[in-house]
Parts: sequence; structure tokens; C-alpha cells
Amino acid sequence: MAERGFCPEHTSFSLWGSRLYRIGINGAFVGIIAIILIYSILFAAGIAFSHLYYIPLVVIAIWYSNRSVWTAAALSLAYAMVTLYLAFGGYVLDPVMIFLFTLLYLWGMTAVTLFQPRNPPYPARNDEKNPAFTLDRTSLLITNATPAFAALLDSTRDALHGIDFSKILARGEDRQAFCGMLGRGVDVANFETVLTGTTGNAVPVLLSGRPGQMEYACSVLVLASLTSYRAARICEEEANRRIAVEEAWRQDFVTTAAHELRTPLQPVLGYLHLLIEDRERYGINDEAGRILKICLDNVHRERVIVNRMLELSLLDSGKVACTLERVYLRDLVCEVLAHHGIESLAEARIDIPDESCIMVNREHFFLVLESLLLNAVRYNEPPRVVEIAYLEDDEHQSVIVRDNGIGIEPEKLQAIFKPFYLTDEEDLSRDYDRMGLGLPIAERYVHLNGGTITVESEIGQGSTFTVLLRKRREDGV
Amino acid sequence: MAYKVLVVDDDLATLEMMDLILQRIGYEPLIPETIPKALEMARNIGPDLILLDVQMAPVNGWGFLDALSEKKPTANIPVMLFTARYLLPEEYARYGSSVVGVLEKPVAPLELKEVLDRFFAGRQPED
Repeated sequence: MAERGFCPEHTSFSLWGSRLYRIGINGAFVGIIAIILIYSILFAAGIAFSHLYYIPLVVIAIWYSNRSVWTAAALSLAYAMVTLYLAFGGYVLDPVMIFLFTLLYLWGMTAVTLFQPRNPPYPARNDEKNPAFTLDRTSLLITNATPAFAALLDSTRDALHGIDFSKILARGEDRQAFCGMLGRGVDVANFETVLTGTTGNAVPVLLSGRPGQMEYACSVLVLASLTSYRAARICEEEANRRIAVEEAWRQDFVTTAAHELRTPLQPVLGYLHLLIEDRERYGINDEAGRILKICLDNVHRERVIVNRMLELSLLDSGKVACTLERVYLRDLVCEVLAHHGIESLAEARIDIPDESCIMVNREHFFLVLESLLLNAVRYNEPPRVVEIAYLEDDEHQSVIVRDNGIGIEPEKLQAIFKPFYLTDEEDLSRDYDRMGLGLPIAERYVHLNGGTITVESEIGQGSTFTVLLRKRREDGV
Repeated sequence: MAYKVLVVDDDLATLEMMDLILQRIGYEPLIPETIPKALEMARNIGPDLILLDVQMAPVNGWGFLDALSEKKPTANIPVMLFTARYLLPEEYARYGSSVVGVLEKPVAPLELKEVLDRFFAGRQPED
């Protein structure tokens, strides 16, 4: 309908009428009184028949369909009141029937109001915190506004009631376009315009609207807040980019540093080996040989530290590939024990069934077990006992390494997975094997293989490390 | 006859040490002082294996490998990357089978011997 697209500047629509549409519950009561009056007149004239007044009640239920249960309750109350009025007027009524009829009406009208197609949802009523308002379809007067919308225009809800839309949307062409689309029954989304506040302030907004039976439900997105949201998003993206650049720089730095540290070690390592292995040729006596051996040990120490730093950095950068395979756990544990001669230092109790298999990267898991078992021996005093156990349930597999060592203080438990953290920092300079990178690397390898690692410990009693793996098939699923 | 191993590196201390070590572990070292000389040596002498550093100046290891693979006689020489840099497999994947392994510096003489012996096991020196 073309004429509905026209946006009238002003009509003779009364505020009373507007409020009647707007406040359903009040409207229902007004309707009830009207019904009583009309019915009384019709009854006095001998036209009305008992129980026929449900027709206007149903009409009201349809009219105020968006009020649902409230309308049904009000109309049922109306029925009860009309009936009582009749009873006072000498009409003979059965109280049980009145009760039953009232219930019947309640159900009936609830059904009517629920199944009647509703007006579009009113954002203003759904969420009072969002700026939104409703416009009368014919008069284009504001019939309701949320406090947020009132605040946006430096006004109050009451002051906005009944105000002509043209007062807040001064641009005639914008108003005509917006109302025109709504008038044609078209939903409008994010119509960019400028509203005018009561103090004359301009508020750039995105207007959205939905045409309803009697009203247009409109919601407002303040462009200023959108701009700040966008600015915040841009800041966040910029920060993420910066972090990525810094991370790439850090990775690059570690890789370059590792290269620069390892290159000079090559001739040192080579020559030291030559000197120590062929002492007679180079005229090296026992004392010099001993000193050279110390030098060689320290070169090895530095090599291991640099390699581990690089390994940790590569693990953190996600550049380490992980190919899974079926590994017999007991065999792997025995391999680690034999590789480091652990059984000569501690009593190893292995409680792993021969057929127990885990789906991991063999090389990675070797390093994990190596780290846990060496820790169990190092942070321990004779008689050392190391237990390695395997448990499983429907979903998980656990590898448990338990020792009877010195234990870890509760507050330091989580920190042991941090790089270069030692429970006793003084040991750093004394014992080069305790360089504080073994557990962090082990933890990262466990994560890479889809597991977690936890630790429990009691001072003087020992520690228990548990590697929990999710059960996987051979295809890795 | 010992296998000829060409060492391509821009670090003179490493070159000098490798000269000694390779002889000691039973290989014939070819130690050029510069990268162009290394390329020349690869073409003229035809080593059995090249130990190639990656991070070099002015030409890096990849540049050397490209030059090597340009002509047929040198394209077939196996190359073992000998570097202090961490290399991802995809970095040298494009050279295919000509890159036969990666040796991470620093390498102890015994480790080097083990790796070279394993590589040459079953291979005959090219006369």
C-alpha cells in the first residue's frame, strides 16, 4: 500500500489512544469496564444473552495478543466480574459453574493469545538496558522508550512519551525513508542517521525497526559506541599483531643465539677431544689432562644447555612435528633405565604389563621418561627407590613415576615446569645436570602428544609424577 | 683408499680443526679456504661427500647447493648439512635426495666418525 509508506507530519491521534495501545493491562481493564457497560445496556434492552459477552472478550484477547497470559487473566477476571455484577442484579447463578466458566475462559483465552500471531518482539521491552523505542504506526508519536534511549537524548522516558518522531529525527528525507520502509511492512536494519537530543545535541546512530500491528518497534545502536568498539577491536588486533611479531622476534633471537653459541664450540670440542685422546702426541701430562677433561665436560654442559634452550623455544613456537606410533611402554622404560644406568643408582620397580601400549611419538616419550626418571634419581638419597607404574581406564592411560626422594614444597609444585626453575637454586652452579629445563621440556612434549602431566609431592617422602594420556587408536583418533 | 670429504665452511677455526679430525678418523679431508674454491674443488676433484655449513657469507649453504646442482657431475655429490643452525626438514626438502643428512654443530670427533662410517657403510669409494 503506497499511502502507508507516506510519513505524515502530524495527525489528530490522541495521546490517550496511544497509551491505550501501549499499556495492554490498562487497556484490558478499560475494555472490561466498557464491556460491562455495553452488556448492561444490551441486557437492559433485552438484546444480550448470558454468556455471549465472551465474544468481545475474545476480541480483546486477539487485540492484545502480545500480552499473552496477562490478557487472559484480565479477561477471565472480567468474566468473573460481569457474572458477579449480574448476580447482584438478581441474576441467578451457580457459584461452581462461575468458577468452572472462569477457568474455561482462562484456558481458552490463554490459547487465543498464545496462538495469535504476535507483534514483533519489542527490543525496548526485552532489554531495558538497550536504547530502543516504539512508534505509533499512524501518528508516529513515541509510545514507549527505554531509559537508555531517553538518556541518549538527554531526556526522560515520560518526557519522550507522545513526542512526535520528527522532533528527534529532524532530517525529513531520513525520516521519510525509515518510516516509508516500515510502513510497507519491511524490516529496517542499521539505518544510519542522526537523532537530535532535547538539548539539540546530535547523536549519530544506526536505527533498526520492525513493523508491528499497531506500533513500530525500533532499536538504536549508538555510532559513537560502535566507533569506540571498532577502535578497541583495532587496538586488540594491533596488540595481537605486535605479540606475534615479538614472538617471531624472540624465536628468531633464540635460533640465532643458539647458532652463534654453538659455532665457536665446534673447534673447541674438536681440539679438546684431540688433545685428551692423544695426550702423548701433544705432550700433555696427567694434571693438564685432568684440566682439559674439566674443560671438555663444561663444553659438553654448554652444548646441552644451548640445545635444550633451542628445543624449548622450538616447542613453544609449535614447530616440532609429532608423529604417533604404537609404543610398548615397558620396553621403552627399560630402554631409558639402561641408557642412563639408573638401575645401578636406584631400585627400579616396574609395574607395567608387557602388552601395555601407548600411542605417542617414541622419541618424545623417551625424553619425557628420561627426564622424569633422572629427576627421581637426582633429587634423592640412598636407598633410592623409583617405581614406574601403568594404569588405564576406558578413556585414559596413566604412566606414574614415583620416588622416595626429598620431595618438593607445595608452593613450588607448579613452578617446577617453568624454565630454569630449580627447587634449590644454589645447585645450579654445582650440578650441571640440574639446569632446570628437563621438566619444562618434558611437559611440553607431553602436551604435544596430547597428554597432561601432574605432580604430587610430600617433603621427605618423595614425589609422584603422573602422565595422563587420552586413549587413541592407531590412526591417532 | 679413504673417502674424500669436502668441508665447506666460512669459519677458519672449524676448517682447521676438521682437517685434523677427518684425517684422524680415517677420511681424506678437502679443505678449501673460500666458497668459490670449494665449488671449484667439488667440480674438479669430485668428493665422496660434502659437509656443508648453511649460515655462511657471502654465499650461504643454499646458494652453494644451487650452484652445485646446476651441472650434472656435481649435482650427484651427496651433501650432509653441517650447521649450528636449527633446520626444519622443509627448509632442505627441495634438494631431495642430494641432502643425505644433517649434523648439528658442535659435533664430537667420535660422533662425526660414527655418522660418516654409517653413511659410507656399504658404499664403495668412486675411483
